[in-house]
Amino acid sequence: MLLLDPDPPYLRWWLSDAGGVPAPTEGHCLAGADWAERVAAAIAQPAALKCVGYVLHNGGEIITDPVSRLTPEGLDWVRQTVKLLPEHNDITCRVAEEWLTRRPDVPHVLLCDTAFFCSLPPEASLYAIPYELRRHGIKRYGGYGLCHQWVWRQAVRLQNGRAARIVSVCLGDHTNVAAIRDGLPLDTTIGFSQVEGILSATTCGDIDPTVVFQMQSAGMPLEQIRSLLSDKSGFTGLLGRRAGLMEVLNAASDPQARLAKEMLRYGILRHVGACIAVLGGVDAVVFATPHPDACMTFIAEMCRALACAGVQLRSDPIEQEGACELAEAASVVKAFCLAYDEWTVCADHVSTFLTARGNPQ
Amino acid sequence: MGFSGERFLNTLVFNCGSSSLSYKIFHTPTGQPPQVVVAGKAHRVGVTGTEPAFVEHHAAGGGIDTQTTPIPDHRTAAGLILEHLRTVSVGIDVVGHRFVHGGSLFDAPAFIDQDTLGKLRSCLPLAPLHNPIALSVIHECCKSLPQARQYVTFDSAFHCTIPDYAYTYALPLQVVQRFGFRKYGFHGLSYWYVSRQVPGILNIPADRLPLKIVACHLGTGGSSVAAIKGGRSMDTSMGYSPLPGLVMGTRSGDIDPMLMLYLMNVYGLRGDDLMDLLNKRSGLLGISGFSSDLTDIIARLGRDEGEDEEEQPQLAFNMYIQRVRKYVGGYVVGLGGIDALVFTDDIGVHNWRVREKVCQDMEWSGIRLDAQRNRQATPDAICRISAADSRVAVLSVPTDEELVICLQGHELLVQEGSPDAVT
Repeated sequence: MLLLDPDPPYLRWWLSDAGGVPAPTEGHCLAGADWAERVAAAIAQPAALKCVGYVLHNGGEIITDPVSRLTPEGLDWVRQTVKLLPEHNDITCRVAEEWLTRRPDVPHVLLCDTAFFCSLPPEASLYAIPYELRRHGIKRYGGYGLCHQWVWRQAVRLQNGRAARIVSVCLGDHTNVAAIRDGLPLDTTIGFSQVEGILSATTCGDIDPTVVFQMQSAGMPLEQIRSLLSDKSGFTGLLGRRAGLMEVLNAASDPQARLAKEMLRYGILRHVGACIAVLGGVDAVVFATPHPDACMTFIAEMCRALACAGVQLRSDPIEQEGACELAEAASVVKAFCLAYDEWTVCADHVSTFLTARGNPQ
Repeated sequence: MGFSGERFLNTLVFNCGSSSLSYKIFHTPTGQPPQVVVAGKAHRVGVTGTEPAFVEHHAAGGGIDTQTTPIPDHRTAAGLILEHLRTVSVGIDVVGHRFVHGGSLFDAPAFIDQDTLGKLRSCLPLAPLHNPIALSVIHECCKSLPQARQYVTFDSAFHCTIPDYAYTYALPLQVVQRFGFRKYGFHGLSYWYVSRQVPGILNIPADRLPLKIVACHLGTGGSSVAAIKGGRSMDTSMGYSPLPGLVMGTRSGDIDPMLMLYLMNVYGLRGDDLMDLLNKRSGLLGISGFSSDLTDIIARLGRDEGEDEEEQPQLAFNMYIQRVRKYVGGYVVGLGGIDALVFTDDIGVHNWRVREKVCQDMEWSGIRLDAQRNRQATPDAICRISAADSRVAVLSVPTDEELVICLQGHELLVQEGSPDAVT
């Protein structure tokens, strides 16, 4: 399986099995003229290629299926999304066009990161603003849909088919939370843009919108405010230097890092509580993170605070199939920690999709 | 003060609205609760329209005195009220004022002196609509009632105990310092009052203290939620300004801050037009398309649904409820479980349907309403409306901001060790 993910100015690729090497390999190249050759050169046995998957980062209201079969005709729809996220989506379109021509013999699959949240109910997706603005597509789009949908599927598996109501916490450099019932999203923290919700490595998260007005009235140009809120805030703003989740969880001696960690912990707990209220109670809280070992103490701390919602933390977490069970057997609400890897998650979506359509991998 | 053997204190309390000025005189004999002896309100202050401005005065005996006269500003209104009080010979010992936004300069009520006046002046830009008119009323009282002690109370002060992880905005440090951006929070007088009522109503064993409360101040204009632990605010839904948080009559509550930039960039909206839109044309009015009044919206529930995209009472009601529920759920977890959920202010004590919907399917947090008691709750008394087996006590508590201003003044006198103290 070949997966392609735009990361301007680069194109990142991943191969489940490069041939000869039994482990996945990944790489990246500048998105440019010779990219198809450079990716193709990494495939040792082209004949063994079974399928190609593409990540689309923003499908707006155009691409509403999280996973779908991509055909040359369908590509026209994808082209219409370029205006939503020009740099990323243009790379997805161009690379898909090349590989559709290059390998018409294998199935091509489109993975859309915003599609999962297209079915958010209006109470969650709309802002309390006049109709004249709401009808112009100003609403909550959410994000990390591929992750949350995968988390849901894992929760069902871990609970032997039962997982009616879950709160999914995607814990990383851009932490966000979603409430999911019967596989459908009911609410999420990311809003119209990635900035709303919980503070991240560079975004400020929930703030009073009046703050934006105050900065604009003081004469700050809009572009400067934009870059301030989305590139220079969050952990980076609090610590005064470029910082990600790991710096914040580890730097105990820096008072600003301690504050950032407390803000993250409190922000997650508050939004988990909000999601439980939206669900009317919860069956499992699931944390998914690329750094399960480094985050375990932090996650256990949050589970302890969730005792009031019915989570009974066990002292000896049980590891099973890439998941860690954190709650006692008798706990009313289950808690899990999943090791999350972007590529594995995408590959899982593609395999599940093709298997369901009689194209097993 | 009063006569020997029959000590009492008369407190005049002023409460400024944007186009009104209310007042009450509380008569407080030593060791007894304050009683209102005269109350009144100046209407259409500073409003230029066809309807005339007037002041009404209600005496304790039931007599109403109405005076129709031009009232160009709040200072004039205060002058008219003080003049009336002189003609009916009501003695005034202390005067209490309400300031909406005391910023980070005030974390408690304060007596008015030159130092306080200077600090109040520097708080004016924080609430440009409310603070300057309150200050003008203080000036009028200083001039016309020089013998009475004056003090000021703050809507923001109750929230000065919110911990840094809840009040900090994750913006670059230099921006925060330059503008003073942080969460302040409002409706503090109401939360102060409510959080003092709850311990007496609940019979909570001492080992369960400090008491943890989530309070919903649901007003016809502004609304907010607060998380309170041991009488101290731990978080609240409003922020630097009273815009964020719940869906309010005409205020949007929480929105993505990037939307501000998008609307200015793509739609070319000016900053102040956008603020006007979010503060005066959003919220219930913006969603329903016809009213900012929840009672109007409830009266039309189930009608017009799906027929007209621009008039959506059901959607407005659902969004209003959902936002309250999210804050209650968030603060329950933030506090690590709660002992009491309190509803207060107009909508909070009058609207059983709102309380019913907010408490529905909240068993996970220990909240269970008694449907019957909830519907029968009276708005003018504290009512316990939770089921007998509910882990969390659910209460409807009428708030009284003027009484709070009066009581906070009495506490100030006690702290000062003043001989005028009546407790």
